[in-house]
Amino acid sequence: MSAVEASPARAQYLARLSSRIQNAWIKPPSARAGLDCIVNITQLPGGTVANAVVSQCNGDAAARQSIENAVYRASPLPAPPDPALFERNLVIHFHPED
Amino acid sequence: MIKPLSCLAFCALGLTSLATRAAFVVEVTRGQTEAIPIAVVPFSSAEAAAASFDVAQLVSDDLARSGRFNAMDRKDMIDQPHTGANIAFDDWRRLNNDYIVVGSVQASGADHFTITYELYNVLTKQRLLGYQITSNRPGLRLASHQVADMVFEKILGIRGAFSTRIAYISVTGHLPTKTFQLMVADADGENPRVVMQSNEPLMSPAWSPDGQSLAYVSFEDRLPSVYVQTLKSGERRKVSAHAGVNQAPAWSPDGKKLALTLSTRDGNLDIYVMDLGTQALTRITDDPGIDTEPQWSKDGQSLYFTSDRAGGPQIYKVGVNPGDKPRRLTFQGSYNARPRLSPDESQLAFVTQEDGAYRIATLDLRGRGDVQVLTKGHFDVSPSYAPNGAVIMYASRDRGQGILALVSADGRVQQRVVSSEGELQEPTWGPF
Repeated sequence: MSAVEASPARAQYLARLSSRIQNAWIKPPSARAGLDCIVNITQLPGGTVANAVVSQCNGDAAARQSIENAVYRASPLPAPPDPALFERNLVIHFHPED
Repeated sequence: MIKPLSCLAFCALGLTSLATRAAFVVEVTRGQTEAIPIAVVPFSSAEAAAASFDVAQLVSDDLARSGRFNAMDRKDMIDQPHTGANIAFDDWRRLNNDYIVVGSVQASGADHFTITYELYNVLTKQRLLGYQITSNRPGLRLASHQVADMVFEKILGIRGAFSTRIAYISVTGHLPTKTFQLMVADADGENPRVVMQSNEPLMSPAWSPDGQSLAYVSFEDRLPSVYVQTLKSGERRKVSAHAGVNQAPAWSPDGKKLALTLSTRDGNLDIYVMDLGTQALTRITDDPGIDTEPQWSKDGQSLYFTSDRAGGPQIYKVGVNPGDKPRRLTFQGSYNARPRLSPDESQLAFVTQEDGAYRIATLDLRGRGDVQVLTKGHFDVSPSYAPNGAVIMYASRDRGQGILALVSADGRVQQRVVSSEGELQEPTWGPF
């Protein structure tokens, strides 16, 4: 793990992204407590979401789709505090509290 | 006056008046905080006059009434594409739609129509559904509900129940000339049909698992008897008229038996199972308390029921085999009654007393046995699950009037049913 990956600034950035996506999420009735998914996001400079795909997920197809939609609805994603932290490909761990 | 009415005869007679007026209208009183935005674009219809039925509007209304969707008003649409190739996704996204339904209705023969429809995810531009349904003219309404069912399931992961029916009791007039009607209507209140009419009370309608028949209690002989009536033919059969009480029929999952409540000579109520073929009875409970309101488990091996054997009414479960001992399930509060099992058997809906009011609650059967009170009325009774388990319909009172209402099984969406006439009681949702 490089110094940048481990930095508190990066952790903070990822947390902001997660909370932004969670706010845009419409919970489907089939989603149970303990939903835990990984979503791979491709963003353009400026934060526009180009692609969002749920890879691992313990939810059903409706839950996966709701998470991908949440990422698109959250577009444009917030900019990192430091431009050096911008990553075109993001991996977000989506596990809403409920 | 006792008058069983067959649907065929009655529908033919009353077609013009009944087809245009719903028995009730469902209104969303509390929607999901975040409903899913969807646009159902008016379907193209070269023979619009011939079809004279607005498929897209009905699909849109079904989805909106579920409380899970926010359906775009068509006058806000800037474009009306009819196929996926013509959808300008970025425009629909700018109008905050997550999903779009497009389609067409074409005449495909004399009195024959083909509905073609597609569902797209506006955000990912993916095509999620693309189907055709054919229908004759009277079937267009049902076909439209089926389109809504498919869209609902694709997006929410739960089978839609828009194309199902409900039975309920309607009471009109005042004593001594009250009229009781056993009614069946589409889940949206359209196509109401009188199944049975009497000047004596009708109670406790119960659907057969195949949706072809209803069991119910009628007081037409002044004493309660249980009848089974076939909907299509109107043919009815008195299946239980023992001395004393005959009440609360419930069909076994295989449709061959009825669980019901009968009384002994001394007036003690217990639960029995009757073989519908032979009318042979098996006694299930034997307790000096009142045992009633049986409901079957899916495997047909157990019954949930209400009993006051411990003082106030509480819910119990008992196996149907001789010697099986009832087990108490509810412990919170002094009044828990009328259990109804969710289709996936993950929870029981029942009536509980809270702050002096009767309310609909659920008991978690899989986890820690949590109880959640779902409604806030003063007299919320008679819960019945939709066959998809997503919604519970129940009877309530509003300004002294008996009404029907709905609440989602998670309590997040609340709807009320508005009826133009009469008291509505004991809603019972039919099977898929």
